[in-house]
Amino acid sequence: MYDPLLPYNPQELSPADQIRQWEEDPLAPEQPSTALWDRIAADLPAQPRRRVAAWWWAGTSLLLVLLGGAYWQWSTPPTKPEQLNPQPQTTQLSPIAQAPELCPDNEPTNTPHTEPAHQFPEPISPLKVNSTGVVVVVDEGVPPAAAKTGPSSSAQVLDTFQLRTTEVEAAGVGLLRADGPVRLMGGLVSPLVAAPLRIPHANLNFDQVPVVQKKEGSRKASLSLAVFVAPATNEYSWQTPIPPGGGIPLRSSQSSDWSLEHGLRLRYQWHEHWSVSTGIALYKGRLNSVQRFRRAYDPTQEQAGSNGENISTYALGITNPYGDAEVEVALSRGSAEPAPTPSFLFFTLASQQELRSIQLPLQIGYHLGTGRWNVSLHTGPSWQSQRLQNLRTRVQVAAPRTLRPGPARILHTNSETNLHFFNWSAALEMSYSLNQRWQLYTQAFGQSSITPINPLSQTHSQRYGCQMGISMKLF
Amino acid sequence: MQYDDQHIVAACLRQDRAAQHSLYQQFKTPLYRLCLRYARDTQEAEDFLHESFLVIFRDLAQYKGHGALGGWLRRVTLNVSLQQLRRRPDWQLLDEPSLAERPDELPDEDDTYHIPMPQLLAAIKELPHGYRTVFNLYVIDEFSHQDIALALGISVGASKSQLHKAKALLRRKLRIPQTTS
Repeated sequence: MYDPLLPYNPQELSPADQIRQWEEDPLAPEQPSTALWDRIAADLPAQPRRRVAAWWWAGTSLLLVLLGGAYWQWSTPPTKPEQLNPQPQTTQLSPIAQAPELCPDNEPTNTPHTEPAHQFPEPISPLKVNSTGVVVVVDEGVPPAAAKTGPSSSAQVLDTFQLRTTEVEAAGVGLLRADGPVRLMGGLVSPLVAAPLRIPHANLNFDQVPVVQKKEGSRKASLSLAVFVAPATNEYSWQTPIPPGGGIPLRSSQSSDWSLEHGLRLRYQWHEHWSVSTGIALYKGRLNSVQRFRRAYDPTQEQAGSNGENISTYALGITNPYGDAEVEVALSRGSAEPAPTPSFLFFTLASQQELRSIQLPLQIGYHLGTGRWNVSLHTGPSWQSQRLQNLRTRVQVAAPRTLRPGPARILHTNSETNLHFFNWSAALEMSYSLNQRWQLYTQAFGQSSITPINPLSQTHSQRYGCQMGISMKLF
Repeated sequence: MQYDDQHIVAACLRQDRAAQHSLYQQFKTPLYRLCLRYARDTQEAEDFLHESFLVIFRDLAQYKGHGALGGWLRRVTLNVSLQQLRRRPDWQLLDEPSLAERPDELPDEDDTYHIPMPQLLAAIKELPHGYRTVFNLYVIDEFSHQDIALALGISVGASKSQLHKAKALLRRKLRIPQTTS
């Protein structure tokens, strides 16, 4: 093995230095075989997919949602009256008649309203009401065809507007279309007093410009972005099936930890009651787990130790979702001690791992409430990726007194374990609007997932927490 | 592809297979020969090196850049080789010194300086496992007796005793007269 022809000059180098020189000598013949690297590479953990992939997908999804929302918003024209004829019509309005059934105190003008419609300063918002209630607009008019044949038809309700003081401008959403001489009346009915409210006639502005209302409802749609933190607890459990006839499972595990999650939430609410939410949530923590093993003790499997004692060795394997590890525990029995009767030995393997998680939820929500307070329910699937690394273990053994356990040896551990799975989540949210743009919210949530490990066992995981955040309406 | 130490460590931590291969190519020869000194044969030396590189790639994050990377790799390989030795079924615990040997009075100085190198290398190979391991650790890898005791799970006296016997056996093999100590 050693080259006897190595240069030797005892006057210059000590034997140790010469051996170290030999170790570094590139020309020395001792080299590992070329196949050794293939063996090493085969036993190395697989090259992980690039971390940027998850971020890329999250970023792209977020961007697509934003762009889609923006496109939808911009492609929807505002409910602005559009003149069919660029020349303003000069159709005369009939004098506004008194409407005692709705507006008993309204003072009729009794003067011909001869101003052309285009002179009204705000054609988008014909009703100027500064009260809360329901507006009922009544049309008593004569269509062009009917005008030639007889008196005006009876009044009919053209539209009803739900008004809030903060949405006065919304009164202009349901625009009236008049194709000929009409007589219009307006009134405000309070739902609280159950009686018509009087509206000063000066506040009743009706536009005679022919309008086409293209789309309605877009103003109710909104896109909001929120940041949040969420203390939460994670609980995992799994076990092999219970043996026939009962008893305890061969292997089982429970674990739990606390973590502080943080992230972003993007919510699109296209309807007064309905919304869809997505986002990204991150957390890291420590995953403590306890795994219990039951192993049969068989004296015939013992091997003689160097000092004459009898040694039985047990390998305990930790599999997903807690990271692969192989721990070996040796139990020794003195040569003079009688062997206990064959029975079961119980090993408790405590382990701790660092955990990092990224989660991409997709939830549909149902909203209730008006004004500043809002209560909503959300549910939907969530894709979760977890990385577990830096496994540490400790072993306890329950065995007959004559079997003395030695220290546990970790034969092999994986540097890290990656898990990807879906869970289902549900949340109850309560929010408070600070103003038109900002909103504070808190959300109690729960998640649950069942991940198959192998054909015989599954991991059940639950996660509960409380999310607190602030939301900003983008549009 | 060539890497400096800092970049090769960072790339290996990302499980970059090319960087890991580069690190292996750079250090495989000295580490293999280190394993060779402790192993029975070339096959076992390759097993030691195989296990050592698995541990190196797993624990490379522990290398903080203090000192040369080669020195850190050498320490890891030496520790892994010692662990592998102790796991061998035929590994014999080193015997404790007898009272007559009075290990505290055994010399610590390296009197192998006077042994010719080629014969020394061949004779070391023929030493029993325990003697060879202690001799390698003490004389070549410059472990103290306290470090050897910790590494092999023996007493300091046993380490001194084993070294003393290894040297005596080497002298007999090499027909070198006993030096006064």
